[in-house]
Amino acid sequence: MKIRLREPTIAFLFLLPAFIGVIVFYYYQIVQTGIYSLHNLQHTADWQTQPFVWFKNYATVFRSTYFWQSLRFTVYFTFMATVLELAVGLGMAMATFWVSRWLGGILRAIIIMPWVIPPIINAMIWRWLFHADVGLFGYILVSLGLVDKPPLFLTEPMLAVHSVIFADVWKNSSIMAIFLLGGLAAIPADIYDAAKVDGARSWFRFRKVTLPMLLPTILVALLFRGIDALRTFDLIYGLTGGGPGTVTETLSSFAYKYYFTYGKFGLGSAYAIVVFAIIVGLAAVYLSRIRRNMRFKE
Amino acid sequence: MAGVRVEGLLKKFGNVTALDHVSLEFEDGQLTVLVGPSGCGKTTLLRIIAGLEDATGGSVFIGHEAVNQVPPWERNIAMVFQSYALYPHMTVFDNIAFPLRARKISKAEVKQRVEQTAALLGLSELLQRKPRQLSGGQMQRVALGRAIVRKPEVFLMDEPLSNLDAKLRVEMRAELKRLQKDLGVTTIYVTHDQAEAMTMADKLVVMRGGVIQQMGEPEEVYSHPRNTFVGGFIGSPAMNFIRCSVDCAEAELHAPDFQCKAPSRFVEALRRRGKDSVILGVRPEDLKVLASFEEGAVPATVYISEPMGKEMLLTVEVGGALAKAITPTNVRPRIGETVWLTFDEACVHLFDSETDEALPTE
Amino acid sequence: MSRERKWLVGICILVVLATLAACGPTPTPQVIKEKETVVVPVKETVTVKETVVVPQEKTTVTIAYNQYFNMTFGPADPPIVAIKKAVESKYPNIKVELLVTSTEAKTWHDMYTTWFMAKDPTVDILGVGGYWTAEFAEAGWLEPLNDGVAPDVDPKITAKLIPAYLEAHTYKGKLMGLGPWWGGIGGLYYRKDLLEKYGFKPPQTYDDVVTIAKTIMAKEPGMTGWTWSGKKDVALVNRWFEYLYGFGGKYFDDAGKCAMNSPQALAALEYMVNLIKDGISPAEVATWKEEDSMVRFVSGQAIFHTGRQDMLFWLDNPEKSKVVGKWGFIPNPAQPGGRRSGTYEGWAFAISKFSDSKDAALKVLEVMFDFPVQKELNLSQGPVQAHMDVYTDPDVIKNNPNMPLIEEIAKTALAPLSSPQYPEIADILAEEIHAAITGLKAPKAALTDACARIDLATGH
Ligand SMILES: Nc1ncnc2c1ncn2[C@@H]1O[C@H](COP(=O)(O)OP(=O)(O)OP(=O)(O)O)[C@@H](O)[C@H]1O
Ligand SMILES: [Mg+2]
Repeated sequence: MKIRLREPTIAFLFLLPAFIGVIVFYYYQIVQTGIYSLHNLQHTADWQTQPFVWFKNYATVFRSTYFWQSLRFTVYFTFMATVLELAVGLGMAMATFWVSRWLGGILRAIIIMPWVIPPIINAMIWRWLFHADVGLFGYILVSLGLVDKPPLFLTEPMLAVHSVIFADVWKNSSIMAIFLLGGLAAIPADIYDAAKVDGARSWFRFRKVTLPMLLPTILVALLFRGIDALRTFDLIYGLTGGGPGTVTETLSSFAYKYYFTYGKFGLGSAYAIVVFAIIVGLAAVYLSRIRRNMRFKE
Repeated sequence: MAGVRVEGLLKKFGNVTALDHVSLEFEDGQLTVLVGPSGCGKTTLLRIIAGLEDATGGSVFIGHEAVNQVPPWERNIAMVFQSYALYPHMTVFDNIAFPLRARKISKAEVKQRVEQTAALLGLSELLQRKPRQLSGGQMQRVALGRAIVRKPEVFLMDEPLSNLDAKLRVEMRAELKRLQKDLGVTTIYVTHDQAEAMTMADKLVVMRGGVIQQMGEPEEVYSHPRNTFVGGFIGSPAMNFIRCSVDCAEAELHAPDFQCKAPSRFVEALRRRGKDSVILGVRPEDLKVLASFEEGAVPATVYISEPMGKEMLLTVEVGGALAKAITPTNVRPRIGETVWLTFDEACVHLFDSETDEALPTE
Repeated sequence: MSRERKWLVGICILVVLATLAACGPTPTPQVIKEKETVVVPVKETVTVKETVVVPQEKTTVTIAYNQYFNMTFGPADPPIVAIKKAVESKYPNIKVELLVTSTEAKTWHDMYTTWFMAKDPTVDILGVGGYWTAEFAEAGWLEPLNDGVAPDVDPKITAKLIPAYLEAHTYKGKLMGLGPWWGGIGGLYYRKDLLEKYGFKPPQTYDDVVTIAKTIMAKEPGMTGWTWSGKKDVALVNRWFEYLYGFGGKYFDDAGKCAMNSPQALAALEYMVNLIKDGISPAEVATWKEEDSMVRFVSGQAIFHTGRQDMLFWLDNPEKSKVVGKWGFIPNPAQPGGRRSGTYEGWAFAISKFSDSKDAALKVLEVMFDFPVQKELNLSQGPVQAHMDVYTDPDVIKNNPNMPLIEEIAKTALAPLSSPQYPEIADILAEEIHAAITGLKAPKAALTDACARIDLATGH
């Protein structure tokens, strides 16, 4: 007897091994992290004897003003960074897409560069650029006569926050651009030609044709970049070390520090779970908002 | 309304010459059909007229204005693409409204004109759908609607019916033609379906390899092909060609297997030309197939016979070459049988065997 | 979209989301066990030139330390070679191997915790940062060296090591390691020529520094008063400890509660903040790591600089320094009632609880801290180190004429804050002190917050 399966069922069967892998490697760990977060685990004490403490670790997390402050910073950072990255990335993608093939290849190579540089090196480059004594930016501002002394990019709170955003935009706009280039390439050339003969000038074309057709790509790229930005750690740490004070401390630094550096696994797990929940929550809200726009094809 | 004129258009893609000094006049209000084999430069010509492609040389005039430097969005041309190129993210309404909105026409007027166009094309029920939810014919009509909604000076249509099934194609052909006549817009229509070309064209332009072969009314092109290419390209099935030697003294043509009188209207030309060979062209529909010998008939062996409904397409072997003939279905020779062919000398065409050009007649 | 597909798409999206979110900040014990993912340990096998054919099997002792073990900067072998030679001649049955760690302290530290939690027996002797001792000892990961249970270190060896440092590596009465192997100590660099020109003696108190700096800055435009490392980092915490003790403060009170909110501590932090407010130290200090902070002094643009003794070795090198012969180096100043203190950052060596050859490890450890190897080390790398006799050895002084200066400073060494929670305490201090010197928080608030957080972390 032949069993005939419907296409979605077949697809599901094919995906099953991947699902199982994901469940084992991620969900299992998430569950385990969840269990740890309910215990008072520390690396300096024997695990067996450590008590179950209900939600005490979570209470510690939510009572920490530092945590709330870094949540605010991280959300602000994520919002600004992704929006700016989208704008810059879109500009770069359009530029690359519309110039000749030969020039486009060179531009692409230039664009990908910041993204290939390891974050820690990136941080070093930016530390140098923002350096008060020998930094390029300070020098430029002084030479232009805008300020008479190089600003303290990494210690003035407002400046530090935006310097960090600036550096992240510089680095990650390229990946955004590459995402979008993929989306642009998928738009048939005929559609642009049709728009041209239909009388649309470039700005109108961009607004009414390019942008909406790119929208699904943009939304997915924003999601990916957004989640990435919510988890940012190394670039900021290399640049400001979370300073001045705790102004640029990111959410993900808590879980890392408590878990690995302080060896407080219980509390570290609680931080991890909270951050995880925040990211999933934000992403879910985002996804539910954009669902309609993701499927113009149907 | 305005006519379109191109002068000495040259277009090169690297070392491919897509258009080779093309000069043409598309008359105001007429529907001109461009035909030619694949790759002969039809699309390229349309795109240059639309401004989507820059010519390597030559100029384009719309009305009396040279438009080489005018970008496509200022040319007041509408184009229907072979792929339809509908905007997938917009509804049918928005697709049709697009050219109006690009011109900043008021909302109320946009609505009124889109609805009017939709009604004309029978799209009123579909205005809220997205292109993905339409059939090929419906998409076709949306593409047309987008072109006609703003009353352009020129229509450019690039094989707009090629994606449709045969029946729909025949219907749409007629609709298009009627629409064009109603609107009276100068139209340049590309196809490589020569039946479409014959039925729709006010003027027919035959192209090959970037060069214009012949331009004229369809009947004229059909009955007086200027060279063997046009003769073979226009008309289906294609014209039969037989190489003959010329006997000027007797005014006779000698094929390997038969001989016949040279039609009197060519005698003068043959004599003046003085060459001893010529190409004889006869259309399959002009060949008469007889079951038995008659005066002047040529023997042939049936090679294939294909019934085509009310007619029969016979492929016969005449003196080592194959020829096609269309006969009524009451004549049903079997394969391998010998039949007799005659043709009316008024219907034959003669071409120069070296240049392939048609010989002049009296 | 059919129901089914909606359902499938839903699952896919959830999985993707969870996966994305999980990759980052959700550390798990599984990650910890895969130590390869944390670091790439470079096992370096050194073929010991064998002169005698030894029939027995050799015991291998593995030392974990960073790449500096392979380097020499003076007229002696790199440390690993010196150790191998010494062990070879004394204990032919012991073979020494080096496992190269990261030079980045944080990575290095996290690498150890990973091994310990996996109870990895590979590494026998570990180079440990001074302030890691307490943490590791509390967790029971280190072998005490004086608890009467073998292996215990030979008292003849410890008798020659500077007591202050032995104390620094003692936790709850038990000696957990020998050190420093390589030590760094903060002291005050000053411009001898300028101080002499304006008739000043080297400063004794913090007030002296301000007076001198103000006077000279007024007369020598463009000069910076005092540079130090204030980036939110351990370097800042180290500076803070020096001011803290210099003003008479201390880390903890007798009950073990944080004492860094005392009036003395407040005076110290206010002094630091005022340095910046009054322009004696530029606001940029808050962005400087050690290597940034020394730039102005080395290029002759600063009157004072606080930093480790390392700079001594090249301050008279005209290729690197513009102040050749114009500098002095003294212990950090102190206010009356305070203690002249240099923060000691050192690397000691301890024996892992999980080692499978502790006896052999102890033998190697003793060789490492015996005079011959210690002297070789000084000749190759010249740090602040444990063995007293090194400072007065004629060969050493001939090679490094600054050795008496270093001895002076070495005496002021401040034992590191000893707590199993050191990493967390250091982070808290870095945050709060940095907030104060960048003007985000009043000094009092910063110290109050710091102590509240520290007491929470240590459970007081
Ligand atoms: N962008 C281009 N780059 C290079 N060569 C091109 C380009 N566009 C067209 N060509 C070449 O120019 C010639 C004419 O092409 P065109 O598209 O005008 O043909 P066509 O007559 O429309 O053919 P079809 O009936 O197949 O659509 C062809 O040889 C084609 O390969
Ligand atoms: Mg074409």
